[in-house]
Amino acid sequence: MFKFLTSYFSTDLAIDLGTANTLIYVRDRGIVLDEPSVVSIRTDAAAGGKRTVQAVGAEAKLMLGRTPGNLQAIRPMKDGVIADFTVTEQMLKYFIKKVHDTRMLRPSPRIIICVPCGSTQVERRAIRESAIGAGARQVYLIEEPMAAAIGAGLPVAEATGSMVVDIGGGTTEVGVISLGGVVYANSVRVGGDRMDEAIINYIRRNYGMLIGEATAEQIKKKMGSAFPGAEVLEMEVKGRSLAEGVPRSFNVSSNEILEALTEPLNAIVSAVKQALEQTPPELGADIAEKGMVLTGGGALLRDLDRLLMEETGLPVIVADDPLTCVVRGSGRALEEMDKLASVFTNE
Amino acid sequence: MSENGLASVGQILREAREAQGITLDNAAVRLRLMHRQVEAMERDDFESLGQSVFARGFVRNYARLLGLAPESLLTRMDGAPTEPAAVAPTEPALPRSWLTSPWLILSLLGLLLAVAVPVALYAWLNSDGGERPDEPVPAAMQPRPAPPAASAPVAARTGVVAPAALVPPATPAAADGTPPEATASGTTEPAANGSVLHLDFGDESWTEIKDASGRMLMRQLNPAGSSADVHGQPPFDVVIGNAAQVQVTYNGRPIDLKPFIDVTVARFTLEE
Repeated sequence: MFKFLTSYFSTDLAIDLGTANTLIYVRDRGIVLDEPSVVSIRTDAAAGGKRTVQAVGAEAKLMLGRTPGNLQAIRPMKDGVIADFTVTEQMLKYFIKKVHDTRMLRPSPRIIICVPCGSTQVERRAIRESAIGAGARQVYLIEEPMAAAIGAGLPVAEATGSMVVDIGGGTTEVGVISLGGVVYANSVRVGGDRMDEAIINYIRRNYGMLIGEATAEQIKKKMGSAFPGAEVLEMEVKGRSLAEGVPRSFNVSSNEILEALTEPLNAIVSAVKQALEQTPPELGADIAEKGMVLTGGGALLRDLDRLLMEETGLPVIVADDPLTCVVRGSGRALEEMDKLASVFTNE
Repeated sequence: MSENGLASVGQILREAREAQGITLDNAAVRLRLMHRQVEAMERDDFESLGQSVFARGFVRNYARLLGLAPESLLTRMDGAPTEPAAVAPTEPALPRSWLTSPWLILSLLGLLLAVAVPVALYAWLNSDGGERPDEPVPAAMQPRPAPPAASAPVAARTGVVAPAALVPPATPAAADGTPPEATASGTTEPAANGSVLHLDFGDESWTEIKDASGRMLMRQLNPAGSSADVHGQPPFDVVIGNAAQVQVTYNGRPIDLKPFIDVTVARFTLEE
């Protein structure tokens, strides 16, 4: 009776708790929230170092790297898993509350959360528990390649091999799926964040300039590419000169960024190649015919499909709206929770 | 190319390819596809390419190879994008209809409770009231620390109002809780009504025992040192005065009266 009541007051959610962005899908309503996974925390010295959440999501992201001493902008997720347990819990609580209508009762929804397939049991338990701490009544976990494949519209339930490469903020997940199950899955801790880092390092090494993560991300989005293209873009960037210690502006070209991204891109390519090596030949033949599907924010990197195509010799397709594939897939799993029992993973 | 508005996706692709002098085989190699797949695209036979994600992906790649804008071709495929990826605004987009509002349900539930509880209470009091209509409820509420307990309830029952009489509040035995030992074993009635209640009185005690049908099996003052057996159909409704001095066994099992004692009187229901 009580359960019935609480279920009436809460809506079931699917959450893509990503390193870069958190997306929430509500049953029967679709994606209702898409915000950066950033929390800013104010430490109140007067109140004995009490920590309070100042802002969450987009508002907090603007503060990244720009905070004064008593304010801290934190990205609680790292490499696809929880780096700061309590902050993650606070963030989830905030997001869950945000997608519920303002009500007096505390929402206690059933939640599906995606986890990287390479995450350890401890990391999965941490995600499960922080969701329960944020008010979830029940938590189901789904592996990201499976969610991404469902979201991209791949025929996961059919007796045919489908390969999905989900390049997120923290991890790249490669999965081969057939008959509703994961045949092969691998996760490498290389993603958008690692690309930003590579750009920062490259610019420090070659220009002697320091730039922040936000700037690096901007560069990547604007002119990052994975394959030498016909046109060369240039962009003016501002950073701090290491030698002089003052801010300076300078120009970088897309070719340089391509060079900077070589290392993380190679890691992704080798993860894909490894997956192809480990795939049973029958499924490999299916994949060779239909190709692999790219999802996640990393799929938006220009010519990444081209790079993978050249490297593997297989057709490569970028899914429609790759950023939301994972959460849409989890959402479909939510809608068909009873039918899709096999896609959920145990602890 | 000029009649873009009329041409099908396949036609546009083929014309663009021919205009650039690329052969079908060459295009297939560059797309890492098979000859028949490229051909199927140019024939607008997207069904044979598999799920829409593949068909759309192949067309997108082909369009990029030929330097066409993929999006315009994709919107033309099957009229519209097959998978709407609409991102609803952050605010809850659909206000719940008033009729399905949880508050409505809750208030209805509350109303129901508010009506049901007094009715149930009234019905229950009436059903029980026949047995003891003359219970002096309010006057008898003050408990007495060390009463001549055995006689006190008697006085109360018989209607002689003793000011400090220890009369139970009108709450039923059920409110005190049924003995866990008894409930645990289920509620199926033994057909041969073999339930025996054996009582040993260490001191004088007023005892009242009713069976399932409400028939009074025992209603008397038992002298100290006596014992009694009561046979009947459970559940039994039992009232024992001076209960601390009384041992009760039910079908051979001793029953601890302590949890049911209110001042000195134990009231409870024995099930099974």
